[in-house]
Amino acid sequence: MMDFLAFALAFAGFSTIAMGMEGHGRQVFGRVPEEGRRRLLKLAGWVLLLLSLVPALAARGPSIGTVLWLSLLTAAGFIVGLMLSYRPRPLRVVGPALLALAVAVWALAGR
Amino acid sequence: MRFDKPRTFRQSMKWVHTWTGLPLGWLLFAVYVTGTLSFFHPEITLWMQPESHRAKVAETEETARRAFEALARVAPDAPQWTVSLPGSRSGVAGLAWREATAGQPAGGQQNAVRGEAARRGEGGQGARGEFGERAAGEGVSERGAGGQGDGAAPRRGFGERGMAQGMQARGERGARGAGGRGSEESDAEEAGAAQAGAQTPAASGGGVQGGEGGRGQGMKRATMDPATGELIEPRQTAGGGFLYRFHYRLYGFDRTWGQWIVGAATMVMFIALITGVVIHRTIFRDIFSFRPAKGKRSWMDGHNASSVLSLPFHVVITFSGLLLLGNQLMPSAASSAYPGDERGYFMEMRGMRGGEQQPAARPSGTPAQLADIGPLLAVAQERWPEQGVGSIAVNFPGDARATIELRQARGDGLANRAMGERLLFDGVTGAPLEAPPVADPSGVRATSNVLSAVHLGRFASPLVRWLLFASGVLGSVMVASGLVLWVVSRARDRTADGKIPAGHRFVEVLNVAAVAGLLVAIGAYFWANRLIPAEVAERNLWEIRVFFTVWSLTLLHSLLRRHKQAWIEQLALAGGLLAALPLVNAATGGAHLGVAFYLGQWQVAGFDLCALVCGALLLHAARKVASHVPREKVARSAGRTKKPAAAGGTDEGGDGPVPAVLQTEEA
Repeated sequence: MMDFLAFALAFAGFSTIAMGMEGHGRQVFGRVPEEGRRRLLKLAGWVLLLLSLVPALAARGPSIGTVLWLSLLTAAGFIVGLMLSYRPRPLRVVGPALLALAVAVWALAGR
Repeated sequence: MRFDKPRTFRQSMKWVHTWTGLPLGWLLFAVYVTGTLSFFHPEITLWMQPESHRAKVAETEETARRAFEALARVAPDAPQWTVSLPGSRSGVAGLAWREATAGQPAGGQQNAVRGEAARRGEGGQGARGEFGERAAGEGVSERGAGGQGDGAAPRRGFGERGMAQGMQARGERGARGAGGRGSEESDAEEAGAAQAGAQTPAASGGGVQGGEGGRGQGMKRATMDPATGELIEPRQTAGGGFLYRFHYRLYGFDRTWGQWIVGAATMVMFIALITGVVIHRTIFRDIFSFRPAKGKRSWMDGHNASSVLSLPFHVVITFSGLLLLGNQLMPSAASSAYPGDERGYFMEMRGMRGGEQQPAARPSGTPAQLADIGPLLAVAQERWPEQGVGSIAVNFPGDARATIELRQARGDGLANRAMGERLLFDGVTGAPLEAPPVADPSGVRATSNVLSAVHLGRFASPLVRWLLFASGVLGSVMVASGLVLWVVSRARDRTADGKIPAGHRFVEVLNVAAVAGLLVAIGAYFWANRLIPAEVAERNLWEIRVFFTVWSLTLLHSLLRRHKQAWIEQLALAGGLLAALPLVNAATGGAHLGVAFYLGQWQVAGFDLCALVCGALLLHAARKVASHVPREKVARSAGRTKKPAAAGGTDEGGDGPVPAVLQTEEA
């Protein structure tokens, strides 16, 4: 569960950062979000990305947790990149939805 | 680049990146692909021995009892038994025993180590999951089965030469002690190689058979169906071990040379990584940028994305790869820090201290009934609720001084190389004895352990292993797209007169053979595994011969065919070969997907599914190349078809080794 939570956080983080970029923001929203909003998105994305380290470390310990986190970042970034290239629109909802699902599962399953 | 003009730092780095990357890229691609597969080499070996697929899951306790019964049947007089219990990486139980000797185990200081050293070394980890290897022939058996550092002794399938070497080495053992080399894996696997013969005994910590007047005595191994207790006789196969060894020392070379070549390529890889980061100016801004169907731009995006997204993986795997080969590449580091005491270096590397030898244990000679394993396993299960027991070693079974040692299955801690604890019991009464303590590794060793454990996949969790595998695939894509990029970037140079310069043609031919050809050869290797009759002598060598023959043929093919045709045909062939593997598996006695799911043979099912996915992706890539029409600009003055991908948009996606690299734009 914690692995999934870490992945969802990383995915949401990457997609939020992407949405805060000029080019990718246009792909996702159809128009470039204004400056202030972009900055906010980027900040939120980085926070999510850093947060994703927490469940990985908590569940797996420092050594393998770090390895897991880095490779989850790769996987999440890869999927975000693919979606941006081929299906950018759904990114608006996929990130938050995944995150909500992961949090729900985590809360229900009890850590 | 012009050297007669001033150039910027980035331009210089770009030059370095291109010209170090190209010549070694072909080799690096092979290293990346076979190395990526090596994350699963025990599983691959299991797949390649369909005789083992029938095994069913059974209770640990039942399995252990059956294993002891089987061992009592086949090796009643053996001084040591080792049972590797089935785990997440293997569905069968591995049995290993030392052959009984005519004389009693000689005493003496050499024997004293009695596996202690080895047990503390990696060997002690037991074979959970690694046992399946059993690749014979090359004389190679996986280290796993036991604490005694079995890399040491000559084993089945070990040639005479090896034997002789082994004996000789044994003679020297006292002096050499715990020699071996830094990368333990290689040691163990080298058992067959003559050279290793001289090195590995050391790792055995003075092998039990030590003093018998130099008579080589080895570990015998068998595979057991955990549910029935029947011994399985798996076919001889080069297995995943061949791919694994190929990735760090190639094949057909002297071991030293192979490691030097791969080591040099790894250093170049490191240089290419660093220079790549330097020249990639917009590393964060472009991290997700992939613009399909834009010719060179797309290839560049694909190359960047596959590198940057898994950059931590590339850096760690390259650096730790150098570290693992370090002792081979820079031997003077060890010899200057430990002048005249090579042994001290290795002992410390493995967390042993020289003086830790214990007096030799000897059998009493009084027969006694072995204690029931059930309660002991219960104790262990309580102590290690998560990992459970990985393997069981019995010393002097049937003797009054028997001991039973339970070893924890591999966990997830990297700093101690996921080395587990041990529980030692009196083999007759079942009373707990004081087990050798597991010392915490020093800072230096912990660092080295973390890096090598990641590289070697020495941890329990399959999720992390799969993620590393995926990163490895991305790495293969990175190398392959870099190679293709070299050709694509120069597509315009050659359109002027419509001729392809010889140098370009050379790169094109090698690109096809090194990328698509390798995948064809790997597919053929797996086919050969099933099509060569199980009883053929030197079967494993035939598998390897098929691999290299097919690979050579792909080179010939790419020489004879036009560039685009060569890509299409080889990609399609590789895709077809891989995608059909599940069918081949089913048709030649393996557990097909249905059975594998039913029996819980996840290793076999995983192999089949992975082959299917990779095959499908390669077929897709072939279709994309075939349907690709070069863009107007490129095609304009071309007399011959350009590199198909010249205008291709890659989809750097895909998780088959490479596939996507070659995908070209949507028509």
